[in-house]
Amino acid sequence: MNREDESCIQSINRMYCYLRRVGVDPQAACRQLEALMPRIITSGDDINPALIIQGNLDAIDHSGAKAPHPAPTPALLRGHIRYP
Amino acid sequence: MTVSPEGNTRSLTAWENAARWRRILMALVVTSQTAGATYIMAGVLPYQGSTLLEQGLLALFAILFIWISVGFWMATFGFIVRRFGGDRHGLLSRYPAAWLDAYELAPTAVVFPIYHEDIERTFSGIRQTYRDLAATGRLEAFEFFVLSDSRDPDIWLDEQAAWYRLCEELNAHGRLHYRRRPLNLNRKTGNIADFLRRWGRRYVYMVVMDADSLVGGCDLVHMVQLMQAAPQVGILQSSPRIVNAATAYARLQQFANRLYGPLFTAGLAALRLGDAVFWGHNGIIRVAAFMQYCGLRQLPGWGFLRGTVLSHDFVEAAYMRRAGYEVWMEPNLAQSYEESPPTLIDDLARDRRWAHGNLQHLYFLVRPGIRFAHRLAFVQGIMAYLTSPLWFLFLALATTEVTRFVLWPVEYFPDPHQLHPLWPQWQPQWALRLLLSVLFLLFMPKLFAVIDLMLDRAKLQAMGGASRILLSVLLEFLLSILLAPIRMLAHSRFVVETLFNSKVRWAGQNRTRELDWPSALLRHAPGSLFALAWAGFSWWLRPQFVLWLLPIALPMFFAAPISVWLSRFRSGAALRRARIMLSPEESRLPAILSELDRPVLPEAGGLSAFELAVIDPWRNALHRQLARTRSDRGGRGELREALVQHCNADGVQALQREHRTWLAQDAFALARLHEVAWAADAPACWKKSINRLCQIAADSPALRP
Repeated sequence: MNREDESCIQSINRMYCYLRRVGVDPQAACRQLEALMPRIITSGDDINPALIIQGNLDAIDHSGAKAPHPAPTPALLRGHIRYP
Repeated sequence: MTVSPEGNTRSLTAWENAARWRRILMALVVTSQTAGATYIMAGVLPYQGSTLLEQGLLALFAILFIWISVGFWMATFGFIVRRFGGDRHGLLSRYPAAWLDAYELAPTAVVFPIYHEDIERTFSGIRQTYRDLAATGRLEAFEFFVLSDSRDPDIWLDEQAAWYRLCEELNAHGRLHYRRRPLNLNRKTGNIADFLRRWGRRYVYMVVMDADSLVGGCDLVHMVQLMQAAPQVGILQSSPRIVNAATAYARLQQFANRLYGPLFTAGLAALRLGDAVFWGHNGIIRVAAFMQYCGLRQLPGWGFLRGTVLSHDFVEAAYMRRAGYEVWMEPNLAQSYEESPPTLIDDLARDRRWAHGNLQHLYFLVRPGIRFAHRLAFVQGIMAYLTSPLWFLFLALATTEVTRFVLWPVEYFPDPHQLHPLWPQWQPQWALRLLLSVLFLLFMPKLFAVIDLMLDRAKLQAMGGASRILLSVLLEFLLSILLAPIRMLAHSRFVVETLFNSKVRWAGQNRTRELDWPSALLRHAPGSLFALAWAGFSWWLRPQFVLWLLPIALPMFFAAPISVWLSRFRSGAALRRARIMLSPEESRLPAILSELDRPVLPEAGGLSAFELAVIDPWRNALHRQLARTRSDRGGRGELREALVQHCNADGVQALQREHRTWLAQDAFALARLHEVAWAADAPACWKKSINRLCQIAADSPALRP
């Protein structure tokens, strides 16, 4: 195996791991990898899943992935504490 | 006459009259019993209390006997109340559950102030309480708040993740909130005060919980309805039952709480009625009144009477009552739970804080307007710790008395002008009578509790049946005898440390770890050496005297092995398998306790919360949204870049806690670190962490809820 193949495999591994940690199910992760393959081959070592996937989680359809969207804390309704 | 919350004077209500007569009766029986016992004690002493040393002994004996007598009569009152079908003046008797259902619920916050707690246990407890409440169909009136004071980012980052996962699992977005105070002034009181300042006017009631608290949904609804039905009530305290005990020590506490607790709480509630105390958790509070009348300033005194009020709950109850609101304890709210510390050392660490806090009540003892019943509650709290050094002093004086007789000749004419000799008189039959009386007072409440249990067949079966109960009581009695001198010594030290204003450590409580041998030996060595010296001296003085001292000296000497054995999960499991010291909840697990062990957070593979916040994409996205988006101005940009570089170059371990805190609170820093960590040319430390993360990903079938 030459160096280029090795770096490609490492990029694919990293990308797959990233997708799985985001919550994408294995089949959807493979589909996503397939779609990203030309980019991975072109970029070789330089590919960074954090830049490609982070922020686009909700765009990955039917994958089980769900970006966290915490609800804001309730609106303040300030009380005044008295110190008798 | 008394004062209503509106400030008007009014005549006494039925419960106030009942409370008055009950307390008079209690005072009469305790005083007469103490007077009788002190008289017998005087007869036991060789000079019948005529010397200064013996007068000191008698005074100490009288003070200590009062608390033995109070305990006995409290349990007796409780036994009578329970056997006669409950207290007709109690809140739940006056407002039966069926009648309460007519009351609408008002907005209520269920707050969990936490500080460096065990995250799994805390959040699984919140999950169970939330689910139980949801099952009642009355969730819409309630909102949950996790109020974190945690300072270590490896803890509060996990708290954030656990909170969000619960929101997902329970579909509780917008109903289960998380707030962290970066600056945690005034400990727990400051935490609650901060919540009230932000959202105090949003809620009519607030249920305060501990990190290990659980309250059933029906009880939460009932508590709100009771407060709605009785607008004169400011605080309603439930009586938490200890559950989920895994170590032998926790099982001991759990068993005592489940067997003897009902009698003592019934007696306490019957005596206090609307002048009850607040225990700081598992209770509901009327928010507006609390904000108006119960704010606690820093203590302005000196030494230990200065600074934050540590045992704030008693003071809040006293202030609430001073304002004219009633404070009730309701023992019949059945689904209120808490946990016991797993080891003696952890229990004593908590006692250290409580000792300091209770002794601070000396300041409030003389504050104007406090009701007499609450002044007595302060005295009771202070004496809970002060009795230990008094017992210690009593034993020391008794040893001095023996020493005097052995080492110095008896002086028959202490006064030069004395006509008749002063003969020392020994009355062993009086001593035996006194000893038996004290044992009777200590053992009778246990017997009452056993009789009370025997009359409740269902509960008796759930606690292992008659023979197992008798075995358990015997074991509990023996273990209590072993633990009493160890506690006495520790509490005496706590009182002295408090008087010298030694600093109290504020740390999260251990709820899951056993005690190791080195820690046990280190903690108990001074006490063991002291016991050895004391027993050795007594043996040298008069060998028979050692026999009297052995029940105290032996447990003190063997404190380390006793502590270690009691802290073992294995010992606890063995007791449970043998159905010894069984609690009803272990036989019939209530739904609320059923899934406490189910994890909230996924497997971390040994990665710290900070590492996960940087490399785990989902967690990074979450923490970034909860962090601040600070601009680069004021040198923040340079600081961010310097810390990111430092982290990448030297690894997470090289960062100090305040640096990790800064980075974890900054959304841009988290984003930068995340990008760097996932780059192909990432530093070796991040590559290693990502490999571990990928390993978890490969092992885990379901990563997200």
